Amino acid sequence: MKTHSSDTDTLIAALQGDLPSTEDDARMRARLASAGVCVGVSIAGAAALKASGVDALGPIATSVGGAPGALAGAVAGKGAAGVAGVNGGIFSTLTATLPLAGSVGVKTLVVAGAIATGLGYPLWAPQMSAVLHSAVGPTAAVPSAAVPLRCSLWLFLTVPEKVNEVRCASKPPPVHLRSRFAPRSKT
Amino acid sequence: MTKEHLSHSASVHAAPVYRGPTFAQVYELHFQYVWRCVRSLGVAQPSVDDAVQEVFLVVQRKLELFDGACELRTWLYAIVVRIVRRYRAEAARTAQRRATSEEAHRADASADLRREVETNEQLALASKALNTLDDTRREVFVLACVEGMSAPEIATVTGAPLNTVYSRLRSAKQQFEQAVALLSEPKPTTRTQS
Repeated sequence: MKTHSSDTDTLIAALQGDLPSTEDDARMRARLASAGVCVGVSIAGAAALKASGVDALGPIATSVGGAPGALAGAVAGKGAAGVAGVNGGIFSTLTATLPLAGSVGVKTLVVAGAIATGLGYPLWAPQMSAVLHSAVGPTAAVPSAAVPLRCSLWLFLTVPEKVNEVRCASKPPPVHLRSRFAPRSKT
Repeated sequence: MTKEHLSHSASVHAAPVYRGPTFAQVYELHFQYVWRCVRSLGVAQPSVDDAVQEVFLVVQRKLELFDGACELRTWLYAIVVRIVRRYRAEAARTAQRRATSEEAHRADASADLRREVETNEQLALASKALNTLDDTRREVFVLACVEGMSAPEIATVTGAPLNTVYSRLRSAKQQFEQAVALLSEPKPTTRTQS
């Protein structure tokens, strides 16, 4: 929509050209990831942020990699950002396993998940610490053993409600069949 | 029970499935425009990130409820306008509170200095001219002239009647042009009497 004056049009063009930089984009992705929302990774933006001193890799890694990524993010991210990343990563894992919970059963799945998380921890912990060391730097600490326990507890508390919702949504209504032996109407 | 009966009952009672773009796609397509719109609508620079983040958090929460009754962009800008209004109201309250104190004047002076140092002079001039408009006219002007939305779309976004949108747009354009003309004039130099 044009105005009457050409001066005004150039100013409007300047306003239209006022777009965010790559750094703004990366900062926003990091903020959203720290709030538990996955929007993908912008490598250039992450590098720009890393150069400017803001650690965007931690929370973003959580959203990409599911549960192991979430734990990595909890270690790599600092403070609240990492904790929120754990929630985001676990939620993505949870949504992936919900159909399985519907068929196998909630209790079985929770017990299996708890055992797998606890037993698998020694297997992937060294690999994750190596990945963190290469991606974030030497400041990354090794994940503590309490993290799988917390994840299991979180799963145990949250899964039944979610599965119940899914079951209620997908359960077909009861169909009333006419009995073969019911007296037929004469019409 | 026949197959038709089964399929019919399944189709009637199945939960509605959202088939629009995913959140990541919405972000990729609209982030730049949302950011620009938030800035143009008058959110203070330190709060722009907060406002944009809040917009996308709302989008993420409500995207499944988007029914396609209007365009996605219109729906998105309605969220932007609502959040920006809240930020402006908060900023106005804060400014009122700070107006009495001495520190407020110092802060405003430093903000003006920063604005003057801004590299893009045209952008600074446009921002100053936009600041002369009141909030309702500013919304209509930005959505129409900067974002290129039609008047019916703006009416949907702002919740104002269509004729009101047209009249606001007309007066906003006039005010903007007058403000640009005023701000572009060279300031008269003051002579000191010796």
